[in-house]
Amino acid sequence: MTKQISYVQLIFRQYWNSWINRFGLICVCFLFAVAIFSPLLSNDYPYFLKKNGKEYFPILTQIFPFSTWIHYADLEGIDFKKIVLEGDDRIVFPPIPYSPTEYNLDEPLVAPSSKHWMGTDEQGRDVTSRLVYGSQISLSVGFVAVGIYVLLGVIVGALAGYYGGKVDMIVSRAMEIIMCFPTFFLILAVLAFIGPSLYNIMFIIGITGWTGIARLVRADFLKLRNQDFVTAVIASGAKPVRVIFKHILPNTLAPVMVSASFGVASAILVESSLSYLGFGVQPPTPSWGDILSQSRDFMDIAWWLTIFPGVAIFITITAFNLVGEGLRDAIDPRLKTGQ
Amino acid sequence: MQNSMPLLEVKNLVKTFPVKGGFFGKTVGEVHALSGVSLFLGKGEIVGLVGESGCGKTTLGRTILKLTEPTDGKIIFHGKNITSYSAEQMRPLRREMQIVFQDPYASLNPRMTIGNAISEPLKVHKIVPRKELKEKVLELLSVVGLKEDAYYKYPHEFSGGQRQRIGIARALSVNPKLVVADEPVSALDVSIQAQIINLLSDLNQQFGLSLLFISHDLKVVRHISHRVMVMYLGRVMEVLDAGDLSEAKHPYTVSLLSAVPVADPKHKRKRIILAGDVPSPLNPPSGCVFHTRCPMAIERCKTEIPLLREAEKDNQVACHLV
Repeated sequence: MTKQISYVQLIFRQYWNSWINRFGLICVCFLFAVAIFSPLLSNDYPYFLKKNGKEYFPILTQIFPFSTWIHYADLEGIDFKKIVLEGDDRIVFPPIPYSPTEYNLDEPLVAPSSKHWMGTDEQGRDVTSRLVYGSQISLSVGFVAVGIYVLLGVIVGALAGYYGGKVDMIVSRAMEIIMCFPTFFLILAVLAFIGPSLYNIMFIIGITGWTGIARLVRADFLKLRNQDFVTAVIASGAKPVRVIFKHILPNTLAPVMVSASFGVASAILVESSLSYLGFGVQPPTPSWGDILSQSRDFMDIAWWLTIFPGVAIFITITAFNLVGEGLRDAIDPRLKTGQ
Repeated sequence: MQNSMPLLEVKNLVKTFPVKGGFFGKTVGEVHALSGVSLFLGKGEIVGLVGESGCGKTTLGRTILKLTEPTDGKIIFHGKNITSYSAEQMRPLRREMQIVFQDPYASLNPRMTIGNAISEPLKVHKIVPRKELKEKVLELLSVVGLKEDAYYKYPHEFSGGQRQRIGIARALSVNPKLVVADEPVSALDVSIQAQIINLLSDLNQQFGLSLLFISHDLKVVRHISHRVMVMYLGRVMEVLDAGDLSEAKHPYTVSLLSAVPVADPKHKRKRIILAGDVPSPLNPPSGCVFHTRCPMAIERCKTEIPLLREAEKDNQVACHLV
């Protein structure tokens, strides 16, 4: 008896076969790592401080801001950058020893150097740090918004395609109406009413974006519901929920995955565009679009303000698109068993 | 083998499909797939259903299982009139009636392992406790002559004949009383056909399985069935014992039989070649539906519908000339 290889394992093997897929996935994983560990990567609080024979881990107060058990009363109000070290005193900073909101008016628009890897903006804030924290915003908007609309789209599309008839009629007309709205301007208009915030952006992208997914899923359901293997399941007495979600849905997931990863990319773009226009995440929260927006006024003297966030957005979107396309190929039903 | 206790009785079954057209999807016509078909299937009996493509064989099979709703008529399964049963009411009954499909490539979910596909009906009806599922599936695999390692494989790793066996194993998993085999061998090559037919025949003898065996191949039907029912354009033309096929009365059956090749190059026989095509079920001919192609048609056939009646013992014919 051969060893059982689960479906997910099979897909992963298939996916991993191509170097471009590996590259895409590694980029996405890297982005996730940066987003998750940004407080450790970039912080104005040092990892470790030894002063007057006492040892401190000041960064912990930043990572767990509400904890009561890590509290250094004697460090309050200290500027770690200007601390004077004597004897065996030691201080260890994170790789990027700045916080994204820490301004320094003595160093505005400093070009990239060993001190500021990607330079500083007009308020002397470190661009590297802002990019690192901006990845949190981008990824969370991308994933939450797409998560909302994939869920909506799959359920609505599945019901429309499976039941057909009146249900399908109503859903299809609703989709057509929603698709007639110019989404970006709708988002702008709604944000003007309910106020720009991260959650509002996620919510609005989520409830306006589901039509594409729903159309894909509906079309596949229309095609699949009359297939013999579906009839066989119905003939064996399965309930509609089981037929829809266990038997038909897995066969429609390939285009949904592809569409979702393109969706993550475009949601990140929308968020950047909104921030660029000032309707996005509000300052001083760092966002890639916001850095780009600042760069407008200094494009001729501070190229780094344009290039680095632009490249970050470009790589992120490319990576998600690569993952989507790789998945599409890997989920193909004529899977080879792999090596 | 013929048992007087009927497992399935179909009376005057009618199925029409509306044809939608025009801007608002109005019904512009009707396809008469079944026009008053009656059928009787005893316990442990194999009834072969033959006819040309498009004569309503598949529709009959699916309507009996209530996979399509009948327009009129009665379906009595195990003494219960299931004609107007809702999908909800049908669900517990489904473990007693199963279907095997024509196309073994379309009848298995490409994303499901064989083990999961076969155990699905068992899970739906909660027949076997979860722990014993695998054991039961392996047992079924061996019944249909497949190796144990099929359990973890996907459908694309199998040939057409093996897939058809998987389809049969799935149908058998719930120990059904009735299996509708919808052209189970027509997509397979001849050597595999024989294997599948022998398998179905064995299952019939071992487990007393009742089969409605749909095919367009008289040779195959004659081999496996106890009784043969010949359909043409949604109507039953003749019902007779498989052994008596050579004494068929109906001109249509006779012409079908004359088309069966005989493995003897010197064999001389009179071929009856039917002229023209099967008329459209959208607008079936008046009177006897076969009169447009019948070599013996008389004036009466154009106006009067012949009823199915006993011409001889165990031989029912719907023809004015018999």
